[in-house]
Amino acid sequence: MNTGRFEELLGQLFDGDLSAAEGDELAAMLRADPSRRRELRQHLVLWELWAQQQTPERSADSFLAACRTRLRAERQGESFLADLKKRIPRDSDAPEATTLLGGWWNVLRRPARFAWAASVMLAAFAVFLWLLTPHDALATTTLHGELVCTACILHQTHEHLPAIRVHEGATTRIYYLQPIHRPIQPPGDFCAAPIPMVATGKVGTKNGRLLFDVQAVEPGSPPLSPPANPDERVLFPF
Amino acid sequence: MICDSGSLPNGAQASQPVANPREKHRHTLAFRDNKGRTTPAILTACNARMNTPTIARKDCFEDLVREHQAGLRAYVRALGAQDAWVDDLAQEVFLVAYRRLGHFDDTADFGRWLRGIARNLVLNERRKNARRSRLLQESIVGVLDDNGEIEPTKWVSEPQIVRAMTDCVADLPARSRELLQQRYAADTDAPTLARAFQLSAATVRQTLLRTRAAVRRCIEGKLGEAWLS
Repeated sequence: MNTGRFEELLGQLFDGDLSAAEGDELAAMLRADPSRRRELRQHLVLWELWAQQQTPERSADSFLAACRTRLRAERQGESFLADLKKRIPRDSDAPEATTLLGGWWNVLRRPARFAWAASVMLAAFAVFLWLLTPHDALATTTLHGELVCTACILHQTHEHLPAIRVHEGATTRIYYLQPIHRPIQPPGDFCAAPIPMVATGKVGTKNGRLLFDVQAVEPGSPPLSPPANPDERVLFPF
Repeated sequence: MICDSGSLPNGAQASQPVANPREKHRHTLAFRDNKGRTTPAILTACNARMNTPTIARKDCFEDLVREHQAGLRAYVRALGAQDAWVDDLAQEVFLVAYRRLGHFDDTADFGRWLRGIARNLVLNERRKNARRSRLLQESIVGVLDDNGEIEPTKWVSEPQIVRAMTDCVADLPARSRELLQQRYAADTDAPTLARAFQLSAATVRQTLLRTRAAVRRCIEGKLGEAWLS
């Protein structure tokens, strides 16, 4: 009988690498020789005891603790499960949070909660930023056009009021100025002729008319040329 | 209600009761003889408590588990349990024993009773023929206990073996000792050990084989060839 082969198969058995065929081969060797059966039993016992000594998670205390849990589960049945469900979050949490910071720390210690907390914090931060930002700025628009008179040039009103005419490709838009909120100084006589200008302000609508709450007016560069991309509007949301 | 210390046999000692009633249970129940072994009084007390509050019975039983767990786990392994399932099966043995504690004759050997339960559990496991068996290959398990060679009646004294083993391992060359340490303390497989020790996996396996064989021979030298039949 090949001793070397026996030892090799024994080694594979201890490493958990024994195939079914090799297992049968080893079994045949063991069946044929009682001393080899004893040798295998001795090895199993020795290295089991050694592993118990060397591995903390296999210590007597750990084993006893596991037995306790199983005994308790058996005794209490369904109530054990219910109790366990109650205990799981509490056991893994830190001591009762007494401060806001402590509460957040407890939340952040769990990955799922961390994800939720991060989402909530991001959303809150976004709302905070939105509240901080002047809302006027969100709708601020710069118009490149001509300042015209609604009476003299557009012939729409009896009053001489300023408006901005903007050519966007084939379309012409008229923005009626709202000087009520911020009185402006027109950069010239807008009744005599259209004045090229650049106006910054907030666009609104009322009764289907475009309104422009002007914040600043600067002279534009004559002659007014259409923009390279006529559909492009310059917006400064921030 | 607690175990009656009046049933202490000669030489047995009981710890002093403490203020905590639960602790009182434990200390009064922990009767041990001069060698530190649980005395039959424990079994008598546990059996007597079958119809008393479970807490007392549980405390009795925990002492028994602590005393017998190491040897029982080794026995379960010798019956052919996979190393990863040894503790699970041994715990089941104690659960069965707990349920049937009232049927145990406390003049008998408690360890032998446990080993008998373990043997039946392993037999049941073999009959299940489950795909996810907790045992080694059936062909090996069948041979291991061929003709009932692993008798529950004849079993080793595990503290004696552990002492002998500790001495034998201490006599090994440092590198072999370290290899054993890594293999069993960290449950490291041969390829990982090979990387750590800068050896081939085959060399690691071979070295482990030789080391195990050397330790086994050393123990035979200390305890006699038939320390485990």
